[in-house]
Amino acid sequence: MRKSFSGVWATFEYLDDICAAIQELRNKGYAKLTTHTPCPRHEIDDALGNPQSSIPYFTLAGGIVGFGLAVLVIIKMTLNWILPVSGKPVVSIPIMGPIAFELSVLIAIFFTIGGLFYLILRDTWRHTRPGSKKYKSYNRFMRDRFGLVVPCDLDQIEEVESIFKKYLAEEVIVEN
Amino acid sequence: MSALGGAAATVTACDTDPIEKLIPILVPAHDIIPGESVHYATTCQECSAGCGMVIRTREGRAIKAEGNPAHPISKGKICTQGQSTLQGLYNPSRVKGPVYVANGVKKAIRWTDGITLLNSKLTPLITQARNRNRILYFSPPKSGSFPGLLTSWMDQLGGGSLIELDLMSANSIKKANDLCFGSEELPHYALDKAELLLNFGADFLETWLNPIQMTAAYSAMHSLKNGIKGEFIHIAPHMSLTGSNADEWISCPTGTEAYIALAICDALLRQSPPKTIPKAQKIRKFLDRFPLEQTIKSIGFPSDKIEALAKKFKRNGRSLAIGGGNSSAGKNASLLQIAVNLLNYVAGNIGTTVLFGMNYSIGGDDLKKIESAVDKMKNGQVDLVVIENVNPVFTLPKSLGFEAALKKVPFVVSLSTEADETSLLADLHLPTSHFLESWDDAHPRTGLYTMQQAVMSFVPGYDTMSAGDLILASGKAMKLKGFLAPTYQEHLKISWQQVQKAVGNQQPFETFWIDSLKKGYVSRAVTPKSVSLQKAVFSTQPSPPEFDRNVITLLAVNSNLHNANAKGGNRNWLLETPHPITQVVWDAWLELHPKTAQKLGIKQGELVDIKTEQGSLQLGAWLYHGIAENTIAVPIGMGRKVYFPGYVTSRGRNKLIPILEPKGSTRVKAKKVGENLADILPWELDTLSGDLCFTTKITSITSTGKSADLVTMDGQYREDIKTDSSTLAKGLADRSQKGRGFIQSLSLDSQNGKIIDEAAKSHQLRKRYYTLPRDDKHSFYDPMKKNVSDHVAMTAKTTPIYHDPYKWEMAIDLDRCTGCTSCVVACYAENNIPSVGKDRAALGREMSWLRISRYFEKNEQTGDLETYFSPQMCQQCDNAGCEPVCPVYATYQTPDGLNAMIYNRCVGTRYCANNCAFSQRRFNWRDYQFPSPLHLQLNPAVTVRAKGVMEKCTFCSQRIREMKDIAKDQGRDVRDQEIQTACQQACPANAIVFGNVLDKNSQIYKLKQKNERGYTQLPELNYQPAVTYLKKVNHDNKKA
Amino acid sequence: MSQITYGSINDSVAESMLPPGRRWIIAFLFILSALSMGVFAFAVQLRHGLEWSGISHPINWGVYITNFVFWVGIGHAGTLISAVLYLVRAPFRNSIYRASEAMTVFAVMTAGLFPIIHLGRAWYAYWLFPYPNQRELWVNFKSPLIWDVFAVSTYMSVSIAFFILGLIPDLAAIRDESKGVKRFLYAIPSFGFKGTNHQWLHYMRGYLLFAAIATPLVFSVHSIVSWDFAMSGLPGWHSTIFAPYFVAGAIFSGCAMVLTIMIPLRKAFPGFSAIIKLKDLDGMAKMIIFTSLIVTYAYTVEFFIAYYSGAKFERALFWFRPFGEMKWYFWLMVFCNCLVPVSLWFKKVRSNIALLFIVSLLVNVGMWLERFNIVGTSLAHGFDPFAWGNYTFEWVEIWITIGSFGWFFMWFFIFVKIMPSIAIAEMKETLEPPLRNKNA
Repeated sequence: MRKSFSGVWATFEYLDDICAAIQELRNKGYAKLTTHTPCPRHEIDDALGNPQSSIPYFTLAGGIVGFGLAVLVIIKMTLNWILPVSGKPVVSIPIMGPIAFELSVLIAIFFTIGGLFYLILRDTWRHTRPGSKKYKSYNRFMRDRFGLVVPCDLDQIEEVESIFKKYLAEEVIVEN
Repeated sequence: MSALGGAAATVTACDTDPIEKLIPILVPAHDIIPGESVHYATTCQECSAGCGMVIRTREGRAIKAEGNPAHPISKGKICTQGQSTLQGLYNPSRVKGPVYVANGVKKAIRWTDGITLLNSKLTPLITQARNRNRILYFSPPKSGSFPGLLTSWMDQLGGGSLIELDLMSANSIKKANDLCFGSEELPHYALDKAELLLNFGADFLETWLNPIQMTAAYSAMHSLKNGIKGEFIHIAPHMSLTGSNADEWISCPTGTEAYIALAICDALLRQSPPKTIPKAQKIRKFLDRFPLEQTIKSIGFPSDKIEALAKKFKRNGRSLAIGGGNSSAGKNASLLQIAVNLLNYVAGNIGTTVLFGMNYSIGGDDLKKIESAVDKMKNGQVDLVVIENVNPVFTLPKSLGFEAALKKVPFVVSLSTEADETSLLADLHLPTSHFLESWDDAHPRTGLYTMQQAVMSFVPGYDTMSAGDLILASGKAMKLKGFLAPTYQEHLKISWQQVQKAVGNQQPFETFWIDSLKKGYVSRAVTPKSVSLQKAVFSTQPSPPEFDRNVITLLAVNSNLHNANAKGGNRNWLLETPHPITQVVWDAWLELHPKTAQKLGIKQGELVDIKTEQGSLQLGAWLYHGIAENTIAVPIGMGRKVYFPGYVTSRGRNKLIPILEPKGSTRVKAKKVGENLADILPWELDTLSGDLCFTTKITSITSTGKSADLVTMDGQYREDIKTDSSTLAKGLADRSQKGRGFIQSLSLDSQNGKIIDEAAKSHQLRKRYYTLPRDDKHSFYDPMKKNVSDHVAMTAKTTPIYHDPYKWEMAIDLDRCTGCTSCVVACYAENNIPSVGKDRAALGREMSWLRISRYFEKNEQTGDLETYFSPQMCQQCDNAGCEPVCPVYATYQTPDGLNAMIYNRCVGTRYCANNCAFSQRRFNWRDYQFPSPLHLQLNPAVTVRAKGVMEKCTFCSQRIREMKDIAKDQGRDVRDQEIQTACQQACPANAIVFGNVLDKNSQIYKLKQKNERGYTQLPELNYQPAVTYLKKVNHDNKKA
Repeated sequence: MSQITYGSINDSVAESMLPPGRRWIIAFLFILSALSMGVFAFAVQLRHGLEWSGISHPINWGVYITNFVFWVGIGHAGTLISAVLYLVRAPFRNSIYRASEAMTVFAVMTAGLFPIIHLGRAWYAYWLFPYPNQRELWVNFKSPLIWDVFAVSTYMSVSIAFFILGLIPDLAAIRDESKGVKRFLYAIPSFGFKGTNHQWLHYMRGYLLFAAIATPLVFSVHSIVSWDFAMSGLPGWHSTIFAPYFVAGAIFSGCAMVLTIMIPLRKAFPGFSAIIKLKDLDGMAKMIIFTSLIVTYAYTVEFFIAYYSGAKFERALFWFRPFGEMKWYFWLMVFCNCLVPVSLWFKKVRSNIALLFIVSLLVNVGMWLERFNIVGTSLAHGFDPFAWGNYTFEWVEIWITIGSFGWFFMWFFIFVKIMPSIAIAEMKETLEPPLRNKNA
């Protein structure tokens, strides 16, 4: 965590509750929300306003790098020793196809993985989360509970708390 | 090639350094340079024909046997047997030193003791009265100085008889010539001069007389040159390789050849005006005493055929009739020769194609001498028997009882080089050196004297002594008269002073001696003597034809790979090389006609039990149209013990249970290969000449129903086994090339000498294959060349420019090739190809780089089967299938157009072999052994391949390398024919041409330009092979 | 059948990962013994060369290459199901894709061994890679085998990456289900996954891209494998239909293998029968019918082309396959690949677990035979009739083949015990989420 967390986090049992809560909070101008869900739900995305990921650019870059690498390697290596085989041109374009394709796929995959880690870490960095033991050891987010973390100043805590209550959060914990 | 003098050999004599030494010579001779091969001229002693040999030695070891190019008889070629002599030299069955058997206990002794022991048996004989003939000396036929020395040795020891043992002795010919022309000799048959060759059973392309000389002459006569091509008709019960090359094979029952010949002679007389032939009436009368008419009728021989043959044969001296060979060696052998002589006489061939006065010394003594010798031994009239390098116990028919007789002899000395079946019975074994280690000479024919020099020191670890030196030493020790020469070599020098006189040479003797050593022979011109028909012949009693259509006759046949003397029977090259016709390896077999087989209920590949009065054998049946009905043929000379690594086999085992090769399980063991036919042959001799009968009656022949596990290299053999005999009976199962155009043929219209493309006629060979116009390949080369050189320039590399100045190519004339497999053996010898043995061969793991594909094609006009041969080696394709698929560049196109194979780089994916349309690549499925001392024969210029590596023919790239280096040292390009591939060098028919196709003056270039018969195989694949084949030419679209 | 909830999925998966029972142990020992057979045989082969494989001239490729293609083929179903069916949102995918993806990874791991095993000098296998070396000896990029090296190694790394990526949330779930050391151990591979919206956002997009790339990869890889044959000049190999034909065959055998594995899995863990529904298996069965038809079509077309081309070598070969000395392999293949799957047209068969299992087994056998037919018969009946040959199986290759199954199942058995063999998160996606007022 960048700075010590102050704010409220709650767990919900039902999806529609948490979505409603998110909606209201965002209307009230609470931006940096963090949700916990056992599996990806589009309802949540909608509530959060469908943010987009920029992973595809990494993948594309990887593909291009891979292709170039393949072509370079092949040309360099064939010219290193000139060994004619059965009257084929020394540097032959068609035969590059398979390897060029495979390499671009491979590198693209590596770039994608790299991008994945980078982007997730970046976002997590930007959104502060509670440091309390209770939060860390809460182990039902990956099972069947929905969680919502709202970082806020002391004066806003009541408001957030009330919204959570309003939407029947299972439990509401205040940390500051 | 330089046949250097014997000086080196004299220095290297009597030396037994351990083999670890790089150069096993105490004082390296001036002309032995590590890494450079030295050639010595000598004379082949495998048989008595006396062909000239050049032995290639490296670091003082003989590694390759080749023909002496200058030699008048063999003209630079030697047969498979002659090439395999290296495996005789390095045979694991050789004896390491003298052995004395004292009451059943073998004991190695020193040479001095050995000779004293021998003399101790001899000295008593000296004192006794003369000419009591208590000594018998068996040796192979020798025509040089040795017999003289030996006889003087024996004479001073109270006399004895020298018996030159050769089961294939041609005494019937001599006898007949004596009767007919009063000259007891082997004449010169000028096959090359004849237009028509009429052959009664002689296998002259395999073993008859001097097959090498015959093959060369035959191919000269039978190959197409400016529209003319000789004709060859084969009349015999057994087709054999020879017959399969004929233009027509006329099958006849065994033992009736003589009568057919006489009948033809008769017809010839009737056809030609009486006056023209001297003594015509007398011959007439003589012929009338033979029951020709009814014999011909009774054997069902078409009488019009007789007339036709007679008409053909009448060519005023331009025809030739020969006869003999095993298949016709019955009681009538001499009669056949007489008939042949009369035929030649009546046709006026004597003096044109049959030349007297040459007096070839081929073959041994009259076998009646053996008979009497055996009697003497039985009756205890013999004190001492000396047996040198013959194997009578094994080769002579058991019914003679030689072995029993030998056991009666008080003291038997064996001088044999190898521990063969006979020398095991000897009391004293003094192993003589192999002829490549010892000095001798030969006198093959009138006016030709050949030198046999020691080409290397004794094989390391083998303490031997040459027969000559041994006799000299023994004589000296006994103070015999005339035994003064220090060594046998000195003795030779003395006798060669006579030779010098005989050839009328005026030089000082030393120069003459060195020159003849270098040349390997000396000769003088011989003028054939004229002969006239003697009346003695007319007094010969007509013996009835031994022919009975109800009994089955057994023929004991020879081939290029094995013969009655069984000398090569224990050499793995000759066993690994497939028999040209049957393609069987590592086994003996039994050829019989499908119709006969059907009658007897015998299936292809079944184990058959045959009985004669003498005994019984079990052999695998090989159904074959090339044999007369009611006749079976079995190869003779098999059944020797062969030293071979005991590789474990999975044959007949459960495929789920592990088979392991624990340490030592692959140790070299002596294993019997095939069956010895001599066991069941009767001791019967031709009444007149005393030649052995190789034909006999079968008392019973029954199938055991078991499979014989015959292993043939023919990929379609398994199909045959499945087809039943009845199908085989009509035209056989399809063993053709399925119209794939590997072998293509033309037809020569014998009427007006025009060549007709097969397309005109319907012939199996011509079906369903594509022919592309033969371009000069520039369309293919030049872009390739440019591309390579561009990239070389671009990368500033120093790779030599493509195809400059060399592009090696080969041409094979299928019209000349006789399928004799000489090239195959040469390839094994040159390229260190391991023999894999029967079980591996059965899996298709034979390593042969060069195979002779044999196809039986059905001629749809005549309905007969025709036999075709095609030598198949790596085609060195320019657009090869193997190259691009190799993932590690282990094979690629060399600048001089070879399809290189880099063993060190090969990882063994075997993709190249799969993509080779000619299935020419061979894989090392394991490490193969070369049983010691055979490993000493390995060619140092060629890598011995390890397991897991692909290998194949590379046009003997080591020979190319050698000559290129020499040329480079002399600052020139390699000259045409300077490089000869092993197969080309060995081919007695000169069917193979190799050279640089970019050299406008090279044979290969001219041949490819001029010859319209050229074609490449599988052109539709566009592999661009570098091997061009020349189409076979048949007479009137027919052949045997 | 109790109503599946988010919680119940977690429970049943966690249950499948309880310490192994006796049945598992016995089976595993059996598998290990099979594996050791293969290892021993391979050791012997390294020592003595390919002596005891039935491969020989002219059939220079045999059981090993057959096994290679067979396993690569199986390796394709997994990625296909996880990627292609993911893109097309096939409903029957989610429950089986994790296990089939595992199958892919392990199958490719097995397949990858065979090109090495079949080498004459396996100890130089690394020469097939363009590794830096001071002599600067590189590989021949013109050789289909090199394409193969690249294709298979790429495919292996991608499918492993794909597999692990899919695992992360589920491992996180397992982590939260468990305590103590186990929790710690699972915490490591789950990369602190907490199911936050940021994580899900990038994760889902990344996963989608993976699927999108893996799909063409699947097709390319098996096409390249098929070019090992199609690029040569041999009758029976030299054919343009090979790429699609091989891909179809791969999917065919892959789906069969999925069934062969899923059905016992479903039996072994009671909890799964609720998750892996009959209709999922039914969907696989339909895939089998479909691919079987494609394969059958390929067989037929091959014969037609052979006839229509008029090329004598082709004709001879396609006469040889059904009627030559190796005809039994062919007819057995036709029975297993063309006739048996026809039974799946009947709903009764598709819904009968036992029958389904038998069919899938037969298809596996058939597909092995198909590969052997392609490799064996074509080589046996090449251009030169004088050099035709026949094939006999020898013990080493048989043992190594058995060993390869041991190797494959060893990994799979370990997998089911230490990893969630059902995709938890994706199963939850397919469920009705917990809502307070359902009607809303």
